[in-house]
Amino acid sequence: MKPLKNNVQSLPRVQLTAASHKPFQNIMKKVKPNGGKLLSKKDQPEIFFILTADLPPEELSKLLQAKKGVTVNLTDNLLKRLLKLEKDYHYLRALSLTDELTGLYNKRFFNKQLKIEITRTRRTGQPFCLMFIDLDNFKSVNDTLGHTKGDEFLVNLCRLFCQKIRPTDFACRYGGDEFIIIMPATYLVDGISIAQRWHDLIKQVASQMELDVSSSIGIDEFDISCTLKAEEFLDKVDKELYKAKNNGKNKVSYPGGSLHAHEAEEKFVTPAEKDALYKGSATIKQKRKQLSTKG
Amino acid sequence: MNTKSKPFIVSVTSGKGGVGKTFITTNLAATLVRQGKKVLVADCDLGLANIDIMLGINPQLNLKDVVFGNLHLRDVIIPTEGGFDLIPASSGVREMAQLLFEKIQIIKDMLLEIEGYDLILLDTGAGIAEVVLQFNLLASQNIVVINKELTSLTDAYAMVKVMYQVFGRQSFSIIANNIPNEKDGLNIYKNIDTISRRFLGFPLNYLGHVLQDDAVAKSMLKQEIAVMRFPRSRIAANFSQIGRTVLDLRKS
Ligand SMILES: Nc1ncnc2c1ncn2[C@@H]1O[C@H](COP(=O)(O)OP(=O)(O)O)[C@@H](O)[C@H]1O
Ligand SMILES: [Mg+2]
Repeated sequence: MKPLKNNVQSLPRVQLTAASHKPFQNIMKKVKPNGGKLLSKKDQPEIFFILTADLPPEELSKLLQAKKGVTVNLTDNLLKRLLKLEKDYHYLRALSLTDELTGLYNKRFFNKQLKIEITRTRRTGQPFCLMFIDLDNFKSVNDTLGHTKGDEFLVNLCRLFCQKIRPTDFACRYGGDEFIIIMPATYLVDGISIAQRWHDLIKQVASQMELDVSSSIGIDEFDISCTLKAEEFLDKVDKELYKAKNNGKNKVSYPGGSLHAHEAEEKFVTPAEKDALYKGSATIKQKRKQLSTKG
Repeated sequence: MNTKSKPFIVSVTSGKGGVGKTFITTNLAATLVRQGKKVLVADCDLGLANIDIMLGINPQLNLKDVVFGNLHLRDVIIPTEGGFDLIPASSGVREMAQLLFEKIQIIKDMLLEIEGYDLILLDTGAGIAEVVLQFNLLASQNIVVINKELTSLTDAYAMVKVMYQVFGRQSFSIIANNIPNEKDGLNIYKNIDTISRRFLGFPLNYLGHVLQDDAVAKSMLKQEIAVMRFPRSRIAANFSQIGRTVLDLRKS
């Protein structure tokens, strides 16, 4: 699923009436020669509202040119309409599921989705993977080259996330330079290879921008036998990330360090693969039997 | 003998313990020596290092002194009766099995620095542990040992899958060990090869088989190398065949 389009962002903000606002009138004069009053087909005066807080004039001008506002016919019940708009606006903001800067899902969305995925795994038996990405060295970019450069990097990175992510995965911005990817119906081994790809991709974006940024990634699988709660599982993945950070950064860490043989088989071999191996083995046994009864 | 160029590093791995990795490593090493090569064996099974025990030797120094002391791998190399040299490891030290990533890197770097051998064989531990994966990654060839047990097959497949999906490795050689007859070996190989082709998209290479043989247990008891004690046995012939195939791999 692609991150939500930033509906909330493009929603107009707080209302200002055109008439009383001086800078607004000036701008309107530039944009529309008749000074803020737009004429409808029926020659009815309409007022163009920009719903905004204290925006600087340049910003206001941009919004106007993009026609990001509402046109209200004076015969409408203005007050009612504005009140409703404002209510919608606050409601939507509260429901906002995306991160302002990057357009990825935000923490609120993540917390909800994680619980959904756990329930899904318990019901379907299919495991999912959680990947915790933390950028290495990002703070020093912000410190030395400024936040604009840092933000630019994040935006570029997230654009790539949106392009490359599997349609069923969720990319969330968890904190400043922390990202989480939820991968439903994914076995650990596949998750690891995807994590490796993200790791390389981040490196690529950084080198394109000539930044010395890499990533540490922790990943783990939630399978049907797992009894952890959402926060506990998140904690577990966080520990994996910590391992990556502690082992010299710039790497993917997964719970493989102490896997025993049978655990490995359970973790990495999918039922379909196991089934195929078993079938192959059964026919070998049959052949062996035939051979021994013949001979 | 060509000792000027870099040694050809081969790991012997399996996923499951007890399938005969150590047995294959020592006997293959002795066979390659007979075929005129200079061979170094490194005991990389940090959980259950036992080449020294299998060979009945009691080395003064081992891998532990490299990891926790300040020796180079070169300093702990000792000759063996099989004609190959050995880097012994120490068993039973918990910290060894869970070596820090940095320590593994140090050992890997040292292994790459070693010269004067045609081949280096790495005997790895069981399981899909980070250490095992790292040694497999270091080796240019991974020999995956399987036997007729189903669990050895699924574990070997898991190993191949992880090496492929995590590191992009696509070249593995299979040895079917401890099998009643040649045909069985081929069938077991074909089984895992089919699954690899179907699910991973690449074929596996077949190095050959080593038959089940009482000679193995007999020589183990005496802490001797089977192919040396029983040079005319069927398994000695099996190893000769495998040795030649490994040398062909090295050329290509
Ligand atoms: N071809 C064979 N014939 C008979 N016994 C074998 C054969 N290969 C291995 N074994 C037995 O299997 C046991 C385990 O072998 P080992 O090399 O220690 O396994 P690993 O190193 O994989 O744990 C040994 O005790 C050995 O006697
Ligand atoms: Mg062993």
